[in-house]
Amino acid sequence: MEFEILSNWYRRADVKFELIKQLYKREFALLVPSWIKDADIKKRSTRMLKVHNVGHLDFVLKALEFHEKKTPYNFYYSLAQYYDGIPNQDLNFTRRKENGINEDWKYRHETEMKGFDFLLDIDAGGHEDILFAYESAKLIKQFYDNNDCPYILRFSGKGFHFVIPYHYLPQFSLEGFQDKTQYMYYSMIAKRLYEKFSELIDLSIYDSRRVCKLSYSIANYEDNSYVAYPFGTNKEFEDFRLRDFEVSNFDKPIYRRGEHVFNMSMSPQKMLKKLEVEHG
Amino acid sequence: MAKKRTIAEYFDDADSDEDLDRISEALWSDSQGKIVDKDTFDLHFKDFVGDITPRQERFLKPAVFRKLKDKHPNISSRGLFKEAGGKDLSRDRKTTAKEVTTSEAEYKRKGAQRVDLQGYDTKGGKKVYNVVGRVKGKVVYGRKTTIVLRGKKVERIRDSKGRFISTKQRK
Repeated sequence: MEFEILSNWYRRADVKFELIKQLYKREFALLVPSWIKDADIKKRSTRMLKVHNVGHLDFVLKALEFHEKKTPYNFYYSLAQYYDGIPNQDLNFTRRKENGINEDWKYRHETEMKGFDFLLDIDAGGHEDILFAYESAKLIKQFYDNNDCPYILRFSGKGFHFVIPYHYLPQFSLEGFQDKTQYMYYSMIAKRLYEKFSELIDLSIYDSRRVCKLSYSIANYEDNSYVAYPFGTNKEFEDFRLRDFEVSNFDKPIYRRGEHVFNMSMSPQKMLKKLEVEHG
Repeated sequence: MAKKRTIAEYFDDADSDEDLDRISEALWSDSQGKIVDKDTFDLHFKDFVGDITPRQERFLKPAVFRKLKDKHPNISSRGLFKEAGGKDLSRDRKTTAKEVTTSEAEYKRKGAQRVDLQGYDTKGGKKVYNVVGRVKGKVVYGRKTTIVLRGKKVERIRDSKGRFISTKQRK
């Protein structure tokens, strides 16, 4: 894809406002896609960015010379939400290393964490298998709907993401190496869904520093680029066609759209009971 | 053709301390806290990471074990199962053990006759499941196999349980 399209996308005010909403008190990360092998570009991946408003976002992109260096970043946010967000950062990377804030945060972040969302990642592996990912998403969506489970559903660029916000779910220790942790619990739910519905579910994503692609950002792949987009209605999901999400064909609404929580006023208890994981 | 992703691919160049932290944490979650010694670590690591390169075997694996042991000093560096008189089950394709013990004492008390092992095939070479399909209302990974039908060799796709799968995409 022409970098100019990517660059223009992140200059759009409606896009920026939608991105910001998801970053409140979370970590923001700009990661170079794994298919890029050039070591010089790869090392530009940057985590631990604090972005709470549009001005912040512009400032970070400017500091990392996003538009000038033409780095095809994918935009991510942390599944963890912190009481006060992540520590303020220096964007001078030498100083950043010297002041040791991030090193300290590594040991402290779990105690600062308010909650951690449950992400179910259905990954097609390649775009030629996207309909299998869609079929998997359909099976899981039906299961969630039949059991009144609240969730957010997004197209992720090469698959689908189901996110259940943490406040709906039973809470366990957020410290990664305890005997009963939130991540173990999520891993258990994901394994049950894997056994029941689809082997396209990624089981290796349950750790406390996990980041997830931002809705309304562009997912860059070697062959094409797609808009990671949350579904707002059942009809929108039923009408899914990969080509509609290619950046060049994309004409769906963005302005003030947010993310729709399906079955918002319900509880996931019934679903957890069905999977026999209601108590972890 | 889609290939099932392995964590080894994600962390192909895992060298930073943070990457190692995250792998060991995700492994700990995946094992549901059942890693108690080097043997159980090996089993869960193999299961979690999938096919790893020799470099990763040499550097990544010991580094992840050290990280895990830092967090859980009770994890033994020894292979308790073998030391208790068992043979190395990872080399025995016929093993179908069903239980994981949670402590050193329990391990030895049970005579280390049973450990959790999914039974991967070390004699038959690696099985690569890289074709997506469906069987009985579930989306699965399968691999190409050849069967003989009325004297003719025909290609069919089977999943890890040996079931024939359909690879036709439908909306």
